[in-house]
Amino acid sequence: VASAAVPALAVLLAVLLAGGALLAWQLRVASTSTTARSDGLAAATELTGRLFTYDYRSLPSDIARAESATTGGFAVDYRDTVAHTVAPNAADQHLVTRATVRHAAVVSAAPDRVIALVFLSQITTSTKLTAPRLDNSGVRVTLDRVDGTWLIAGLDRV
Amino acid sequence: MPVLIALLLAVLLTALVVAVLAVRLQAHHDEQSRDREALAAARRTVTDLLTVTEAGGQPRLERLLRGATGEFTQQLVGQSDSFTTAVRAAKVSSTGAVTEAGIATIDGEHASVLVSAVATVRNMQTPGGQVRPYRFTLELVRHGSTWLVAGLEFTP
Repeated sequence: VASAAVPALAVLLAVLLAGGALLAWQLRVASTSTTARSDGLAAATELTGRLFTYDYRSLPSDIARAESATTGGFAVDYRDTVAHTVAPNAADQHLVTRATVRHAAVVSAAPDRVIALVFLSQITTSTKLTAPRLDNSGVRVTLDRVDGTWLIAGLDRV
Repeated sequence: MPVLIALLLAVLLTALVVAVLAVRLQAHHDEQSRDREALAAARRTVTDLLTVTEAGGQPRLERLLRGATGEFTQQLVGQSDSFTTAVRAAKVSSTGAVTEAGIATIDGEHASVLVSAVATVRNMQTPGGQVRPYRFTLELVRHGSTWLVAGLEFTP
């Protein structure tokens, strides 16, 4: 009986080890997603306002600061928008604009990608405006973890 | 015989570890479905709140009330009569749609949820409809297995 039990137990052990390895891997993904939720949300809160905050008198450093919050294709798009629209307008109209995040929430979270819903307030002054203008908006922000740092990889209005 | 005992011990230990891992993974899955349910409840409430039709008003209000508790229930009850009258008088109809929803904070009992939505509003002046954006913060509380909206605020 004992000698027959040995191979059976060995098979059982192998199955359990394989199952355990699978569970451990899934649990690791789950726990990195949980970390991503809070880290991605903190990054969305901190970084989103930067994209819409600049002063025509300190444009190069403001834009550099905003660009450092972006990654991938979105970084390229942002740079293009700044070069073709933001920079010329800012100089012409003496634009000073400051965006702040009022609320932020997690739409979805994976280990390396978080999608956040962000409610923004933006105050703008310019020579085109007789009084400062307040704009409120909602944006969906995609954040990617690049070399351990959460950066904005996409943004669209909702 | 020592081989048999060693194997038995290894099987038992591994089974124990697998059981612990399975319980922890299940807890994570429970959290995920809890999050999904809170978001679904918030989406449902916002959609119903922004949807106005003369005929569907009463069933929609009843559904809103079933998903509400506390202060939000008071708000709904307090405003429903004047709201319904205004809608009828203006011959307004509105279709609400949630564009995005996310969880700001959540634990086993409470959730704070952001929802952005649009309402397509039609009246006699604008039969084609006018799209208006809305943003909300909702506070939800868990009653048994369901999430109820306890507070709702329009945010600018």
